[in-house]
Amino acid sequence: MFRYIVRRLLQMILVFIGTTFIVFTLMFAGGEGDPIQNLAGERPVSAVQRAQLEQQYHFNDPFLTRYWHYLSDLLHGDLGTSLTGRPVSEMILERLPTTAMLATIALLVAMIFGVLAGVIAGIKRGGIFDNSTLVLTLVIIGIPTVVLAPIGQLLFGIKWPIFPATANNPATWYELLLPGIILGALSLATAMRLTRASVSENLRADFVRTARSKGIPGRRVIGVHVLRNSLIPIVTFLGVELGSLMGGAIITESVFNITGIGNLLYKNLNLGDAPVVIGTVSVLVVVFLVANLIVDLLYAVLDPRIRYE
Amino acid sequence: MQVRRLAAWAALPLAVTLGLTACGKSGGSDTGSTNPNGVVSVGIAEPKHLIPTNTAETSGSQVLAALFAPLVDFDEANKPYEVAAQEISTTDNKTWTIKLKDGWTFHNGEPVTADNYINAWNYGAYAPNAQDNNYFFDKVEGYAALNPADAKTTPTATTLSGLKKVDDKTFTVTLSAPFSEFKSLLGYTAFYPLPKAAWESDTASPLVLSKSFEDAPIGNGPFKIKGAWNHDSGIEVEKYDAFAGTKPSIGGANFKIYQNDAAEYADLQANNLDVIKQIPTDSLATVQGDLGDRYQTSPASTLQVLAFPTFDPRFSKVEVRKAISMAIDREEIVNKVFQGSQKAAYSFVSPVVAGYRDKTCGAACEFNPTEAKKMYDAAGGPKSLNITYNADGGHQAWVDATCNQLKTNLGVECVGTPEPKFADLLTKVKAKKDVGMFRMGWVMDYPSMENYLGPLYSTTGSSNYYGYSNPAFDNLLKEGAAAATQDEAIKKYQAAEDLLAQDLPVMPLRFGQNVFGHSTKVKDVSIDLFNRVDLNKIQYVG
Repeated sequence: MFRYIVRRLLQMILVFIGTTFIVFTLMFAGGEGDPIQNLAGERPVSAVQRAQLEQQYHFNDPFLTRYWHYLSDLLHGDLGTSLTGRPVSEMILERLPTTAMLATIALLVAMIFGVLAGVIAGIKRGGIFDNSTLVLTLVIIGIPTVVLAPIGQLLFGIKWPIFPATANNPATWYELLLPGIILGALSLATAMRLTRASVSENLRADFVRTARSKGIPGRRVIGVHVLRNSLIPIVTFLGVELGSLMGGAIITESVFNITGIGNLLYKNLNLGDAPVVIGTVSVLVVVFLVANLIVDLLYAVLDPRIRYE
Repeated sequence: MQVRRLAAWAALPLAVTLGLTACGKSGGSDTGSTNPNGVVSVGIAEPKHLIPTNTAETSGSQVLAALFAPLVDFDEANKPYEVAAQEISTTDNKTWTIKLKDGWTFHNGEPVTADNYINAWNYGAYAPNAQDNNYFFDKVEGYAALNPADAKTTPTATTLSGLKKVDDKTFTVTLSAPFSEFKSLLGYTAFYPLPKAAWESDTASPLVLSKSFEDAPIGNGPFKIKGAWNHDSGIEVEKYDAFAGTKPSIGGANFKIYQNDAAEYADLQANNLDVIKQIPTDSLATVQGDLGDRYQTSPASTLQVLAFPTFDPRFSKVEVRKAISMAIDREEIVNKVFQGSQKAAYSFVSPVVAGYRDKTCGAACEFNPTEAKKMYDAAGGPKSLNITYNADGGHQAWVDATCNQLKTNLGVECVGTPEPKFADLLTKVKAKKDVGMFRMGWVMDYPSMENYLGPLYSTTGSSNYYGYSNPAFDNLLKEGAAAATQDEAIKKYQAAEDLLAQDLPVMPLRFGQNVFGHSTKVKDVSIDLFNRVDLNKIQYVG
């Protein structure tokens, strides 16, 4: 187990370096526009500003040297400074909690409702509940967040103001509830369908029949034998989903004016503020990698047959 | 305006999809009495900076306009009048004497003196400070010494030799060449004063700005900051009781920072926000029903043009340029693509400045397809054309429409070529790469004809990307700058504009507008030419 974790951590470092390298290359060497003009966005760069930026971002050095500078700064916990002069790490740290809260709500919604509904639908396959949730999840999967979020805001924020239409900074749990539910709705649908399929498959499995024939009560059969075995694909899904929720909240965050990571990334991509974009992506990569590691470790807990060596 | 602000304005042309005719001029409901202690919330984006010499976008300048009082402001006719200045006078347009009003103080109690202006301007002009508004000081004597041609060398001077203190309330500004519009220039954000508290030490040279100042700027304006700049969240200001100028009729303002304009609009509809300065593109179709007479428009200073790279042999003949211009039906594009909300332009300067005349472009801008085709063929115009534009500004629709008109009316091939960002387009144009015709937009820095001519078309103009150079034009600008009165200056500028109509380095296409809305809690909402809410006029009734 310990050796497995160490090996995974080493892999993570490689993946991290690889991804930051790609983003770094894309942001600084992409396109034929000169990097300084890209850094400064749309406005003209005066000779002085050019000289300053050249020095600050080591533009006169070869590309790999520049990347090395970036990596070594990163190791010291320094994500660089945005073009507006604010430290990138400060900007990210300010926003990370909000996005984490949003992702938590979304994940809870997906877990509680998705898994619960999936189990019920899986047990009572072909029933009214099963069929109606199937249709409902189809509808939810079919509507992209770009549509779902503004409609949700219009209906529950403006027409019937049950929830606040937008969030303040820092956002409260209540303000994040509606966007969180909308964000979670997509994962909810997928989680439900995964659970349903997995549960109904396991219900027909030999070990369930064995357990039943041994006279174990139905609730225990479902709770311990079926559910535990059914959870593996769901945990995989939710673990990967946590990573995407952190970064993929771009649309929901901008619709509800949530000052989170997704919004930061989106805004600075548009502004061409490369240091912020690279810093944000680096942090997201770490979150994603850690989430995946946790998922893999959870396998062993769920299925004792899985051993890590 | 320099290209930087174009970014903010780039989306504007497409943004507008409702007719001007449909919007009343009413300032909203007159119900309820006004509340002098009411706090008005205004939606903005996160400012880049809150230092006058470093603020060049509308969100930052909106906040600064509340915190600072300018030397001059502009009246209904967009002529400058004194605000913080008692008198601004000159005899030769070269040396300007600025006398300050008595009794004005900064929010920390410091009296406003000539030094406050001189120090702030020196800081802005000193190259190593890399201020975004640095170029605003380039007309002042001594600018070159602070901005050496080789950016890596340290400037030989740290202060502008053209700024001289006479006494505590008076200072003189000597320009390197006469400039009759200098008084208008002083209305821009870059020319606010900074208090002693802004500096690490106010006797150091060069001056060093105190690190914490930007988070809680201390100004000389009608409002003082409440707390500090809450990044990405908001900036609150309250009435400054000791303000010596005309006091506003509200208690304060809350600048709410939005990450995206759709969220801002949603908050306005939910009545959580009082003023939105720019209705988002997607909402324009429904804004009339959403807001009724709380949806308003007002003139803006934007001008959209299609530029010819005159250095490109294909466009070197003026007949070719004129034929292309005549083959474009501006009204049709304004009506079909912009739903009548922008105005077709037939002049090179905006209607918002003194000296504007309609149709100065003359026959060259009149839609005349038969004449255009004849002229184009006679001049041997290129068989295929392309229009380069930045894909991030929502320009595709009108560029495609323009190309279609050229195809039909001139019988040529025409395609729109998108570049990812405006910066990419400029990089290519500057490198004189083959871009074909390209789009340009302009937002003025100060209301003057000169601002629509000098930077754009003079041989050394900062945004002259077309390679246009006409000594007669340059001369007229110089004469205008040296003219004794504004009326005389205008005559010279108009003559210069007439030369543009002859040479047609660009063709004017459209004038822009502010498209804004407000809640039921405020009235008398107006947006000025710089896309700022006028906090002196707005009233709170909620």
